[in-house]
Amino acid sequence: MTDTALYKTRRVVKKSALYLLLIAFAVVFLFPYVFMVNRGLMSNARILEPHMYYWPDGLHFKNYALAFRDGGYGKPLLNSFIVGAIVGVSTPLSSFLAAYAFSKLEWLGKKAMFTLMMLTSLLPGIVTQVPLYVLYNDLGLTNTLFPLFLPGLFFCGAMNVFLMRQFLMSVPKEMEESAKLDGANAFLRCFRICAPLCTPIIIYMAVQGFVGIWGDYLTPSMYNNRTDAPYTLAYALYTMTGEETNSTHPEWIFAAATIMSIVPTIAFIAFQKYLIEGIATAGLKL
Amino acid sequence: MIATKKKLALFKKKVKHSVAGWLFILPMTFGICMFTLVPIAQSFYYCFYDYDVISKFDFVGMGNFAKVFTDPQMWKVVSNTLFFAVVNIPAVLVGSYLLALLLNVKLKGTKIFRVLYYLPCVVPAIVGGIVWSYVMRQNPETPGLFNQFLIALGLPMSQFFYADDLTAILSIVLMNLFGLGGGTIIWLAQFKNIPPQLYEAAEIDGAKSLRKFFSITLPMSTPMIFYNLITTFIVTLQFNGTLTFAPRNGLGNGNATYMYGLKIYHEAFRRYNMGYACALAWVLVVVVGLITVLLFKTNKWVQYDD
Repeated sequence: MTDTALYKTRRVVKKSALYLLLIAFAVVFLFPYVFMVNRGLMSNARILEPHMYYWPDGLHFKNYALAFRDGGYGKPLLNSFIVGAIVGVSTPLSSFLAAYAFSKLEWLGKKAMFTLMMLTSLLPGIVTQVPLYVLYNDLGLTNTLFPLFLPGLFFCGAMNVFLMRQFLMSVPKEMEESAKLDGANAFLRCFRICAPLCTPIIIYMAVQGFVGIWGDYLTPSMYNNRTDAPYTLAYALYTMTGEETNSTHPEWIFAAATIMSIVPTIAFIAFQKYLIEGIATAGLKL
Repeated sequence: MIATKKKLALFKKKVKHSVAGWLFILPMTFGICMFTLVPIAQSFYYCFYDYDVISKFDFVGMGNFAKVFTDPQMWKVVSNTLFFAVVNIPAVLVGSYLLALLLNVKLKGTKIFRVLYYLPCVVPAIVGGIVWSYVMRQNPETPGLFNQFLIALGLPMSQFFYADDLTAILSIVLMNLFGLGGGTIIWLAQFKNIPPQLYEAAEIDGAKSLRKFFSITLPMSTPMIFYNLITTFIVTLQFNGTLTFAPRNGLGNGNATYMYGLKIYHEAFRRYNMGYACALAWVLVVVVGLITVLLFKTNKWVQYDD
């Protein structure tokens, strides 16, 4: 009797300790996130005080409106959404077309092409940056939004094609047979029959593509050198680094940073089932 | 003659049959040629030139490669990169692995914690940079939050990434620890792939949790440990994320956060030494290739199922 009671209390203690540990980690991990949200909600007076406060003095939601209206983050926000939408569509689309050819069609040179594609993933991206600058410069595309999405219209990385191909290979051949007999060509078959079956991986790639370009400050920083270039939100914030202390409205920077973080956060939470699965398989497959 | 005709007919049939496939692969082929293959060739070609995009385009032979080894900044850059790799890679891999073990415990609500731990990875790097530059602020009159903690604990203040010594790089590792949730998801997926029969058998034999970990979980995750080791290693050597927070355009005070990836970025897009930047990139490719081969040669500790 006492033995089972002892066993029970030990289990409760063990469980509580584990929960405490889990909560402690959550507090630590979310501490910078909360700090950012707090600072975006502070009054101008409080944020400019020499002492760095953690909690805001009331919730000044108007900071968001002001940051995007007067702070100059409005147009960059719009640009970020435009580029994000393009990449969000082109990533799954370009990967799907290539993956369909690799998994469902027979053609001369398939193996060679697949090997070539996989080889491109081995090369550090850093190697192609300089020639791409020269290319964009020659095409007059520096200081535009094009470098952010142009390559992705055709090819969004071997990893994406590979993952999509793995997914398509699990779609049984029989699914397409009847459509084939009805005379549907490959194009119809791939979009009518295979694409709907690939919804989870398509969602994963759309969100990954969107989130990736949403946070990309490096590409514009390489291919922009004029201040009148169209900024994305990430690049607009990048130009502020090192300038925060000179800013008269640091709360606007943090309001913009909060919006910058909340958009991918919502995307992640809304699609977490697909994303966690996708991130895990992407990590395990290759 | 007939045989070749037959072969030709077969080939023609194959070509005709291939048209659909080629149409589907056309965009990707164009993309790879235009944005990968041609740039690779160009990049290699630029290595031998002193090139600034605007006017200068002078052949210098192996000059750029010689410069890689004689550049006075190089010692600092390479030692910083190596120190960062040696501290960052184990910290991130071991940290995310331990966190995954914690989340793998059978408890209600671990899924929620998995999501919470992943959230810092969702925050764009540039936002992280801005936040860290406040949290780690070293100004003694207006200390940042971390220094406020240190003062509260009665410890001396730290300069964090504003320091001009190795403290700066250790601060970057500290930041990266907040992104552990990303690796954790992959470890958790790997744990799921371990056949449950192994644990059942071990339990019948009376194995305790610690024993089960060292005899089953750890050996079964060695392929993933190896894969993550290589990928983290490649990413770490190219790291230029200090751009978003460190002083002097990411170089840090006294070049304390000047690393190889950033060096390439600065030579290319700040100084427009395109030829030299390409040479630096190719040296990195060779080094990464050599070390990857070395890792594969010494992977006897990795246990593959088949």
